[in-house]
Amino acid sequence: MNSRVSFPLIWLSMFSMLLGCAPRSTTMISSTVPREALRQNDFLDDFGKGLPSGPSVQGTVEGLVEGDLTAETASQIAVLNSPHLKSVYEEIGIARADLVQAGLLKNPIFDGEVKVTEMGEDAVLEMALKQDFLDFSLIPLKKRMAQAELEKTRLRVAGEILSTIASTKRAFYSLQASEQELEMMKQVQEALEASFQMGEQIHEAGNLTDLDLMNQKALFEQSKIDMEAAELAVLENRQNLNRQLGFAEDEIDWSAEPRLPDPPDLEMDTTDLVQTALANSLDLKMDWYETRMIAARLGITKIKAPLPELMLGVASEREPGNEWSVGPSIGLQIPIFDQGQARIARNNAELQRAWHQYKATAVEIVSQVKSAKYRLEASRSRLDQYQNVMLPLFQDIMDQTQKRYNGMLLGVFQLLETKRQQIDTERKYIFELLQYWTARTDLETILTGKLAGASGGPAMESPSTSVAASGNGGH
Amino acid sequence: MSEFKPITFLILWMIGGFFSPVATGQDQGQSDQRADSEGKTPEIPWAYWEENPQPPGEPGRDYTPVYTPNGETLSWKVVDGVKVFHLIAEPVREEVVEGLTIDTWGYNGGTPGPTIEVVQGDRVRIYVTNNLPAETSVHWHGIILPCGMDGVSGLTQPSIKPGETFRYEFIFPDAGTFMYHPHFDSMTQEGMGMTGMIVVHPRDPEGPRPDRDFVLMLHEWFIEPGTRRPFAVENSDFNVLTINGKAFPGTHPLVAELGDRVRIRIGNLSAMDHHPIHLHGYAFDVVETDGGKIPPEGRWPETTVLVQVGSVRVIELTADNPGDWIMHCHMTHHTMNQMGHDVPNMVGVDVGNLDKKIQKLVPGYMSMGQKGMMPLQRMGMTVPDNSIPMLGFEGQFGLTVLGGMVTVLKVREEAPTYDDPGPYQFPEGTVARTATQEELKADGISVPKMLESSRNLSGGSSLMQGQMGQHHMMSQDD
Repeated sequence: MNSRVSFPLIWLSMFSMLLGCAPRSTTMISSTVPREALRQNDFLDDFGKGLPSGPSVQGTVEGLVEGDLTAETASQIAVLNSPHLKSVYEEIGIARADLVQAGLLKNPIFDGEVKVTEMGEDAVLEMALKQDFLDFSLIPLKKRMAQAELEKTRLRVAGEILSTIASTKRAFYSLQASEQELEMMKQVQEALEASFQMGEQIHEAGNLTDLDLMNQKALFEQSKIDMEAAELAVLENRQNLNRQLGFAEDEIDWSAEPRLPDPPDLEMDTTDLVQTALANSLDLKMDWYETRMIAARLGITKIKAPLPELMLGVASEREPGNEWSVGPSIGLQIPIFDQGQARIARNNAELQRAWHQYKATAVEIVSQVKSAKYRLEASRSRLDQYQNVMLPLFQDIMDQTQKRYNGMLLGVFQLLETKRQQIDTERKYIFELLQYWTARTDLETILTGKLAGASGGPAMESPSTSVAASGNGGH
Repeated sequence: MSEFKPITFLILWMIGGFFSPVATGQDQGQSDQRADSEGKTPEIPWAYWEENPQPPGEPGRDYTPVYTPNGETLSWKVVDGVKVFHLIAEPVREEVVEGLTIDTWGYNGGTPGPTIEVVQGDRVRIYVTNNLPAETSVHWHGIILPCGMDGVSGLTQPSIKPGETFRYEFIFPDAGTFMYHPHFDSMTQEGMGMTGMIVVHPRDPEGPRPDRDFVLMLHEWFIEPGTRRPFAVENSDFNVLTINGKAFPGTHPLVAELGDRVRIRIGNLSAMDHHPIHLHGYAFDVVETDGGKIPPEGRWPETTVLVQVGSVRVIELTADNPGDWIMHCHMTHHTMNQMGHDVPNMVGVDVGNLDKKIQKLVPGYMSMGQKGMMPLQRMGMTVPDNSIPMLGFEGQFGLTVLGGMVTVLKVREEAPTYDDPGPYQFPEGTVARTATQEELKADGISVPKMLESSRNLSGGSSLMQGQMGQHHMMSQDD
């Protein structure tokens, strides 16, 4: 080989070998469900190794949809099937790729120039190979940053899963409650229809005034309107749940268990609430990794402040008629105008901000978990009142009223009006039951690590008293 | 002429006085044939009896005791020639009829209180103990007596405070039928049932004694169904009507033997309503009021005697028509038990299939009232505790809607006592029954077809017919 050419090549190859000692990237790992999300959700244990994807998801979902859905099975479907969650899962892949990227050195730069003389019989040849050497010291910090970002992303994905489960449960309970409400509004409508039809028959016989009949009709017609509102609520709640489950319109035929579950005999253990919530909080951990990331970035900024850029390499040149000259090259940025003060100050401020955000998140968690606990306790107490006192009492009232009806001490209109009042009490109970399950879902979600998104109120309006009948019955 | 001496004048004056009306001792008794005063100052009505004390009248010897159905006569003892009675005003618990028991106020354990039975001229001492929580007094309605014994709190005496025992002493100057009741808070205390009858037999009776002598006290109440306390504030919507504190079918019958001379004394201390008491099977004479005897030429024949509030009417008849004769207030609402008024007018209403529809919401529901009232027993439905809405009467021929101020005069060939002889055994062929086709044809009677609507209503709902299993089936043969 021509020694003129081999000389630079040897340098290049030696240089290259140096570069070969740079750390290699790890191979890409397929995304798995973050461990934090697995911890508190039993069913996800089944998928601990990794969520099924592709046709096995379809099969699992179809299996779950065969029976009446419960809050738990609906949550499973949402975790498996929600396209939103699927897009969120991919963020882990993105973060992993970023981690790999952080460990890669910048590629060396090869410069080559051929300048032909005016006469064209010879040329000036220049070749240089340079490498950014600042990278070597920066890579550990860059990797730390990317690692923190990856952890943050894993936590965020876990949080999204918990959020999805919570939203699905809330939507599910709302659907059950609205279906029960519809059932009861149907009963109210039937009662008022019977009352009106009785009024029609009495009027037909010549025993009721036109005005009294019209009043009966008004109550009945109002109940039809109220029932339509209840029907609409069911449809809307179904669509909400479809959205959570990832089902397009009418794609899969499913039905929910018709009744809200009864409250459990033993109430949730609420000792050490704050400690549990803080210990499990994904949001808090995310904020912590944020500070770590910013700290790493600050390190990078501080390194680059005095020496923004450093290129080391080999340069070679051959003038026409001369031999090759070879030697090391160095290029560096001289921090005269920009000494990086602004960037350092900026990063410091960012660090402070992240630290305060961390503390703010802790305060938010403590406050939210306490108010969720109060809501749950208050709701449970009201529920017990309804179950133990009000519902039995209204049944007794119904029985006594019927006894008085039997003795012709009051008439059929008053009897049906009392029935309507009994149904209204049952409606109040169902509303209370929905409040309870919503509060419980909110508390469970905070305790397993995710702050509630919106203020965790129920998705159903407090039942307005259905149209009060005027109790017409006098002579 | 000898000198006129004062002593002579005195002697003459005394001789003249001896023949004066005072010396000859004239009485003011209404049924007395003794000479009356002519234009002189009227004497105290009981003066004669005061001056001519009588031995206390005794049952049997002096009179045939009266009979107070569902009640009793107040016992007495004689102390130094005076009949001593003890009335105790107290809270009482009374069963108005099976199914309705009330807590109210009365005398000596009951409402009305026991009948006070004496003979004209008897001097009585009546002790009245007040065991009520309220002040009270006793007024002797219709009795002519010293004003201080009249029993009007505040006006003629201080009221009897709770726990006190008062002493009334007077003579019964007139024979007749009277009443006693409080005069402190009349609306409340009379309304609560503090009433009682007084019977004064004549010292020298005219004519034979009656064979049967009944004492009845009428009363009206408002008792909210399901409660046990009468509401004395009520002034128009009375829902429980009683004779001697009982509502039909809880009233004990008036029993007489064929040929008996029957006297029925009826007092009325209802708060607001008179009662036209109608007797089936007889026309009777109204012979007496609490003002006195009606002379024969002034007597008034009736089948219905109107007994005003605060009055007594006495009727007499001869029991010549055997059977079970109902005697009742002819105000139709007064023969219903605890009827409620908050119901729509259901008469003639065709409910179609509505009963089934309503039963889905209210199990056991049944439309009622399309045919009018039905007795409670017929419907087989539960009603509030301690209430008797539309409680009816089950006689030998079936159930009927009847209650309240009703009793039965039972006239039998043989009835030795006042005890209930059971239902009348109607002689064969004397009871009204459905007409046979032959009879209708023979007499040229054509029966018009029933209206479709009436036919539908009369059949009743299927639920009712199902429930009829254990009760009388309602069919057109009843």
